[in-house]
Amino acid sequence: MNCQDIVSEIIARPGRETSEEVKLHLATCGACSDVYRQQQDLWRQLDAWEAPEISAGFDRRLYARIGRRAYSPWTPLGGLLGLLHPTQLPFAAALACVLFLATVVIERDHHVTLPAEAAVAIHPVEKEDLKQIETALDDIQMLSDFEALPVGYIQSQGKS
Amino acid sequence: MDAAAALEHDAQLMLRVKEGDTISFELLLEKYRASVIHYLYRMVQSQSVAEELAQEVFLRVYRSRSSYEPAAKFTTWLFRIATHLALNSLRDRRNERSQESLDDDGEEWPRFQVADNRKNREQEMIAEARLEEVRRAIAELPEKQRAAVLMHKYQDMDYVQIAGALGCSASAVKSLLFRAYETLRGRLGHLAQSRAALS
Repeated sequence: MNCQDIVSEIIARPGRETSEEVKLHLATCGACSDVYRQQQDLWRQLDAWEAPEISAGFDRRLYARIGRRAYSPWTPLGGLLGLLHPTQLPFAAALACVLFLATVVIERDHHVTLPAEAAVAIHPVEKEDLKQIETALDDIQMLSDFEALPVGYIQSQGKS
Repeated sequence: MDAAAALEHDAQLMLRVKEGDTISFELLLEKYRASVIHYLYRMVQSQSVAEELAQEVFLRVYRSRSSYEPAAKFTTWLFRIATHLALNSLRDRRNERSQESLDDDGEEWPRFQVADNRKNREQEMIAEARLEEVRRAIAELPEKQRAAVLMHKYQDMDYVQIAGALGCSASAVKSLLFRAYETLRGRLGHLAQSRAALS
């Protein structure tokens, strides 16, 4: 084993006993011996870095999230369903059916009355429009007849 | 319990989760909760962020249960998810907080207690200063080197497992660790020297 292999061996086993081969090399190689000592110091320093306590509600929060994720929280309906307890879901479904049926019934009644109301409201307007158009056409015809007469005839009619 | 048996046991638990056994999921959570949170804490150096990310890790494990196949060791898969989330979080935080110094994160780190004994207090302050340097040195490592060191040193994972978690080859992990430890020895070597001088 060369020095690079020895250093790799030293690094590969944090906190574990070195092999006899490495020990023999370290006894004769000052450079590798320095690396070995520095690496042992480094591991001691890293050992001193302890992670803090885990907060008490970690599992409870996780299970709450897992429960909610059964429905997609990214849609308003999914988020709403996620807030319900599983036992409340059948009631929510029944309520949704009742609301849907009520909407259908109201909509159907609305469609039945609409044509009758529309006939009463729309028909007079159409009749009125036709009458106005006929009158306007008559006026135009009369004016064009009037313009076609000679100027002298109009003046004599005006004097008489 | 040897590694093969552990692989078998964790994989079996996960396969039971796949079949709808929530107790097996609770066992896996109980077994790996601390490891995952501590790894993430050392990666992001914030307890609240680490716990939030750990929640996401276990949530993803649970959500992936239906497609789970025991192709790799369970811990490799678990730490691959954790590393992926940690690296994403670090990138997001770097973008958000590029102007802030590490000193502003002091609230997340354990405070030393004021002791009546002056000597004890001084020792605690020295220990805290040393820890601060260790944390800084780890935080300043490139992300993959940091992840490799934390999995190697604190999770006792071998090169193959770390390679699986980082998505690279075992020889690449060996190279990452070689460089990372070389950097750390250089940055933290004076701590050992000052300790030796004090003693």
